[in-house]
Amino acid sequence: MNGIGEFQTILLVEDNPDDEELTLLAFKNNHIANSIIVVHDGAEALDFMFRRKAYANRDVRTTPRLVLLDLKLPKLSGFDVLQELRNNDMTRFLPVVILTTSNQDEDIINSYKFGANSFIRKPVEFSKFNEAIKALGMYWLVLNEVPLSTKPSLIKG
Amino acid sequence: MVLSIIQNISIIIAAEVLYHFLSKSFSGKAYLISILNGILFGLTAVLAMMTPFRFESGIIYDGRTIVIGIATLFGGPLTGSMASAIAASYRIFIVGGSGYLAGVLSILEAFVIGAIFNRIRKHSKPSQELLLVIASALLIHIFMLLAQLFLPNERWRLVLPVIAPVVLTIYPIGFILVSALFIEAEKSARVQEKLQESEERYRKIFNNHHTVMLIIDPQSGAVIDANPAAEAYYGYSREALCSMNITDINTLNPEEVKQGMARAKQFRKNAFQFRHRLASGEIRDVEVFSGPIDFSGKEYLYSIVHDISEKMEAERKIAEINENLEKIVAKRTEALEAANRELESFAYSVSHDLRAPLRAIEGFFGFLMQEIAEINPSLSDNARHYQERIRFNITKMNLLIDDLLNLSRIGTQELSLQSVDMSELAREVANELLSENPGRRAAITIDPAMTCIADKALLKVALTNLFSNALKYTSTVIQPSIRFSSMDKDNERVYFIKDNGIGFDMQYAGKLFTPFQKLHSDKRYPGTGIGLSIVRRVISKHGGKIWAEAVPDKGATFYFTLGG
Repeated sequence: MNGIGEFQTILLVEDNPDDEELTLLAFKNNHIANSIIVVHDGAEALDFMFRRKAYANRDVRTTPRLVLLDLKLPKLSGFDVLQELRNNDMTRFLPVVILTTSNQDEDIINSYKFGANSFIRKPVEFSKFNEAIKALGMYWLVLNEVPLSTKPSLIKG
Repeated sequence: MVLSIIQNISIIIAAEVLYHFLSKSFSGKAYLISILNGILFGLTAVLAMMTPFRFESGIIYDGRTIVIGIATLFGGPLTGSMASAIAASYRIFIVGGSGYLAGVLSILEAFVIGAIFNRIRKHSKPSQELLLVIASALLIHIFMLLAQLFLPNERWRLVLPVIAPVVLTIYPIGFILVSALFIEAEKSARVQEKLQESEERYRKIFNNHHTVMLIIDPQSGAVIDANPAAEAYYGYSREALCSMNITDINTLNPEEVKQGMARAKQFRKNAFQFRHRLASGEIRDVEVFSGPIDFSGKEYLYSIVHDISEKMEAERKIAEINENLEKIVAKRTEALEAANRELESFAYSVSHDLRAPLRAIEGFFGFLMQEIAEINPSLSDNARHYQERIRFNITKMNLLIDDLLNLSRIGTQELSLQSVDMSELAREVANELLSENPGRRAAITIDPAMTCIADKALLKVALTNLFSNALKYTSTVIQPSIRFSSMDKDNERVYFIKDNGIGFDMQYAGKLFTPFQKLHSDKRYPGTGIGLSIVRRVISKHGGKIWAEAVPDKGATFYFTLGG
């Protein structure tokens, strides 16, 4: 772990309050200590990422290490958000995991086409959901390496 | 005597020419001809008697037997009797003399023999004609000699040696020669008559037929003849039509008409569809049957013209109605397809939206049970049962939603066809199912090398459902066995999955493929009741058919084809 561990933020883009709460519970349940920031639509997600509007003054160190992105979102869809992130040099290599209820081939294909790193269908069963969140945290926050340029400390505001 | 008889014969030949002239002039009036010819031959006989060979006063020899014989033989009894009466009268009243009885008897015997042979001739063949003529010639003249026995004072003793050589040679020869002329003339008259008859028949057909007929010169296209039906149809007189060219009637350009006529000539009979212009300017659709016909050595085209305007109009209307019908059907189909799509997308979003609350229920129920377990680690049996039932139903609802989503998705998905090794795919499916249900053991036999053209992903869905069913419904038998094979039936490859499970009553076979219809209780054989509907969708999407045969407690077999 590097020295800025407490700022290993996860951005959860989720409009359904139940899903939001369950995801947070699952993280807590699996002892994933990272701070999780929740935004509720696509536009808010982009504002947060690029420090605009309500997030203009956010601490640069809270720039997330991982984005969990739902596809069905108000205002801007998950695909719109993904494309914006991939078009920006700052976020080009940021790990984005699609976490959604859809399992349509078309959605999976488009997700990868637009540069998602992973596609996970939210399991209905409690235990499987718990396991999925655990595995996700383990993989993307512990095992996965990202280039330095995407590390929060190096992103200039 | 020889000279005089030759003179007589030339008179008879002259009479013969007259005879035919009369026959022709008054053709159709048989009695009149017979009478006139009777008079003609009678006068000829008189003429012959006027230039006789005179043996002595009252005893004369001439060609009357030839005249009367031929008149009767060829002209018939009526002509013969007329001629005989005239000749006999002349012999009795004008010539008179001692030989009158023998003279009249000669006339009589010539008439009788002529009449007899006339009769025979009617029933004989043309090849026997000459024989008959010779026979009658000889008989008549033998009897003529016999008639001399009736000369007074036994004059025959003197007469016969003089006349017999001539009467038995020159007379019959003259008779035969003249007869030959008659026969020839009759023959040519018969041919002429037949020709006239056939032409008459043809003309009658042409003129009286209600069908429009035209005769056309194929070289120039000129109308040669037109029947009254054509006059009535086109509205032109026959004279007008006969001065026209077919291109004045046909709306096609002359070159096209010429090609059509050439084709009609070449193929002997041919039907064409043309548009003909009437005198009124109206243009009608016609069907023309054309073929070549010979007239005095020149080839013409006869054309039978049928007006098919009404038929064409009706056909046009039918085509129009059909087109409209097709449009309506297309419109309805489109509407139906749109409704179907809407329904499917509705089913999709409904099932999709159902999943979110279900997941929330399951999630929070999980955390709730976790909380409870922390407070009170030992749950009551009842509590555990309730927990289990809630979990079971959540799982079931989740499966239902999955199946509904699949079902609606298959309906809207495009097929992506490829060559599929079905045996391989089936093994994969069976292995997956067995590993998902470790408790199930079944002897699964899959025939090797079954290949087909199909959408592999969809086919896998179908096979998964079919194998899953087979496994499910054999779970209660002691030695479950499942076989996947194929056969040829009615030139089509039929695949089948046969199991020895609980089967079903064929009475309910119709319900098998309807969504949510189950033939067995949920408790022993859990399922959503959508699986076979999905299978049927997949199969019918491929253009195939699916059906099942079963015996309760003996097993079931599901057959399917993949179309094309």
